[in-house]
Amino acid sequence: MNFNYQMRFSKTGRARFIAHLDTLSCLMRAIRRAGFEFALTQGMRPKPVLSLAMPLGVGVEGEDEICDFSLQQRAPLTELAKKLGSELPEGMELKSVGPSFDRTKSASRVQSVSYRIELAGAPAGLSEAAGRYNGESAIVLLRKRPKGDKEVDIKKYVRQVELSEGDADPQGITFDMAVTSEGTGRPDEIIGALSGICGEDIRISRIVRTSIVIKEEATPVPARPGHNGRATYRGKRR
Amino acid sequence: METGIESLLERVEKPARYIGGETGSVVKEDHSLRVVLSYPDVYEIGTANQAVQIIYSLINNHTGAWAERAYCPWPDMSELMRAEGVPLFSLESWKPVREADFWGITLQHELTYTNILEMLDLAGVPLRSEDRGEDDPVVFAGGPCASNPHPVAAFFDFIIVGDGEQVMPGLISLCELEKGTPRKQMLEKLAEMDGVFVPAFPRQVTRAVAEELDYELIPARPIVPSMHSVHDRAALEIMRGCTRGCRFCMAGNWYRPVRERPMEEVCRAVNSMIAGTGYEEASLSSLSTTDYSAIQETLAGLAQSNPNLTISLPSLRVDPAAIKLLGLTSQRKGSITLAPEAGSQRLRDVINKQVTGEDIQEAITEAFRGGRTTVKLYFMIGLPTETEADLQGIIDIATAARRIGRSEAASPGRVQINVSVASFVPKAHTPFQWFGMNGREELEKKQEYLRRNMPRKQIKLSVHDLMPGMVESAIARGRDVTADAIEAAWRAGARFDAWTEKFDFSAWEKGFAAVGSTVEQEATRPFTLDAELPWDDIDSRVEKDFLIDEKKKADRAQITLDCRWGDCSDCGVCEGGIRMTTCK
Repeated sequence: MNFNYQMRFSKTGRARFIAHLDTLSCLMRAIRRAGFEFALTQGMRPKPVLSLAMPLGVGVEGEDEICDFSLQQRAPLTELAKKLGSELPEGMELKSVGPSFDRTKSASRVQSVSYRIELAGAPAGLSEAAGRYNGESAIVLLRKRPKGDKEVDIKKYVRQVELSEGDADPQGITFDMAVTSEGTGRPDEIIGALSGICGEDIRISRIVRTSIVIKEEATPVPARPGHNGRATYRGKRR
Repeated sequence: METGIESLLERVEKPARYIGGETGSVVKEDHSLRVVLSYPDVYEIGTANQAVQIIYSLINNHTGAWAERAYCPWPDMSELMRAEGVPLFSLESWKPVREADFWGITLQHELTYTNILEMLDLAGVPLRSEDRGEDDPVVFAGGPCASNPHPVAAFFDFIIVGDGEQVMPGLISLCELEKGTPRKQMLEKLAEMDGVFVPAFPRQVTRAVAEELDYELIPARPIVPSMHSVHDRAALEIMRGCTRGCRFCMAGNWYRPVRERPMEEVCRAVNSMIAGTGYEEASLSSLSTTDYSAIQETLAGLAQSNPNLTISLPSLRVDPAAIKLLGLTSQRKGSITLAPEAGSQRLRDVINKQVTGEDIQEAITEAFRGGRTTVKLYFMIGLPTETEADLQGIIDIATAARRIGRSEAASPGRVQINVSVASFVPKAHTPFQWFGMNGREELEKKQEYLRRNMPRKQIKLSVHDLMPGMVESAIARGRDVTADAIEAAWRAGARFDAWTEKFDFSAWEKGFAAVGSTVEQEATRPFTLDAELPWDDIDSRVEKDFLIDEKKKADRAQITLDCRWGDCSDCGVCEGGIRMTTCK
């Protein structure tokens, strides 16, 4: 029997340069150092059960990241929080940890993510550009990929952007980005689009993912089609 | 400086190489001295090095000084650092290395030497000891290649010869005491220490030897890199030294005598390292791990206390019993590497690799029966006295391995024999130090012979590039003037020479041309037995007469038994408290 947990943590400062797979290793090692034993995946090469709701780009900070993991034994929560909190590497901080009763991983249910872009210098036309961005019905960008470039309408993912006003100039840009089955956008694409509208580069000091919104699990879990696309009868669930 | 570094990190590949803050890294606010330790290669290679870890934890846990680390920035980073005037910085504090009191760089192999110059230059520290002033750090070296310090002597203020943990505590005390002393006087004092070679005050130096491996000095919480490193596992040195007596082997002749850690300490240390790092894999390292007296009990003990731990055993001997041991380690059943080194019994006797043809066949049989599908065989070409029959022997062993695989492996069709062939590089302080390396043309012919005659089905032959080995050889038995060649090669663009895609032979040609020589001339130069050798001022504690005898025995294809099981071979190392210590 496995015991499922979910932790929320931040990854800021220099830790923003730790790449996704290395972040997974860092978290796994922290949990082991804290003295807890992972539940293992089935199969030829059992692996610890741990996943992140959504990868964070290298250089992007996360204020409220989500990690699901499973342990072999039930862990006393205060002990788990205390030990785990002291074992995360510099720049990664535990915000909370608790049991999870979901049957599916958060990674499969991400609905949207929110970003805050802090600016090092805003061009004069940024407010106007934001207004124009919000007013457009579609903004199509070319996404460069090794297998051939692809056109993407980023308005499908980010409907509107907001500027947080400082004393005089805009200090930051915030927006929610939808995560769909067809894909999602990247924060630098939004900056790129706004720069394009301004006709001037927007200088950035930080990109921060402020939250990840997870869809509630539908209960009961609907019958799902099998891997070959046909609904399969698996017998009665016990 | 911090924002300057951050802005660079936004633009480089793998920025996690430069961020520090790893679990196990130490920030010591109050410290007597600031020391930076470096492995002169990129972060993911350097962090895997145990020597740096040992000295790092020794300085931080047992002295008042603070040890930080710096590795060689990858070219994309160094380019930006130069363009924006950011000097080499240490990972822990992000402060310039130039401002440290001491800077130690490990000499692990010759092809990292140009990176030493690259790092000095990036740090803004004059390349040569003679050009450094009072404000510059005292730059020192240590590690196996200190056995012949001359090729890099000009770049260092002092060089530790032998076991660093033996020298370091006294060295730190002396430096704390002498802080503020003018540089020249300080170096003069250091030159009086045992195991310290000061190029400005040259004298005969005897290798420092730790009588035993001190449990207290094991890095119990080693640094866990925040990014993928070449060895993502805890590593514990369970034994130092090897007396098998392979005549080509630098480490086997240099790190004598054998000193084993007590088994109970090995188990305790592995457990604490695993608990302190969160690794799932531990490596029991040494020059010949299966020779460790209590290897079987240790593996059984570790398996019992840590059922989920994977134990890896580097440096397996070609020995069926050793292969059987792997069954105890629950290591993934992929490939296994065996090193017969030479193709014929005669040549294996010449190099004193005491492995018979039956040993090889049985070990291969055992590997396939144990469930492995791939066997990697490692050989050298260009060994002294080698003939075509010895090359044919390599082909015969590979062919026999394939035959054994087809009959013993569970799925004969998946059997794969990988034959890896390197060129022999003679090293200082070995019985083969008097031999020159084979010339380029000769080695090319030998490689061609193997390529032409090695069967292809289920056998993959990979032959190492010749030129990096040539450069290694030209430096390994080099002299003081070799430093000029290394500097000229670096100025011509040589760096990261151990990386196939970065190795630039033309830079090395220019380098050696600058001292009126060529790579090949330096690499192939033989010495007569009565000649004075450039490294004669370094006393390895192994008597030169022993090496001469061994060389003569090699010429006669006569073996010398390991003193662990046979008689004392009179190498001269055991003296006073220095003697072989086994755990059984």
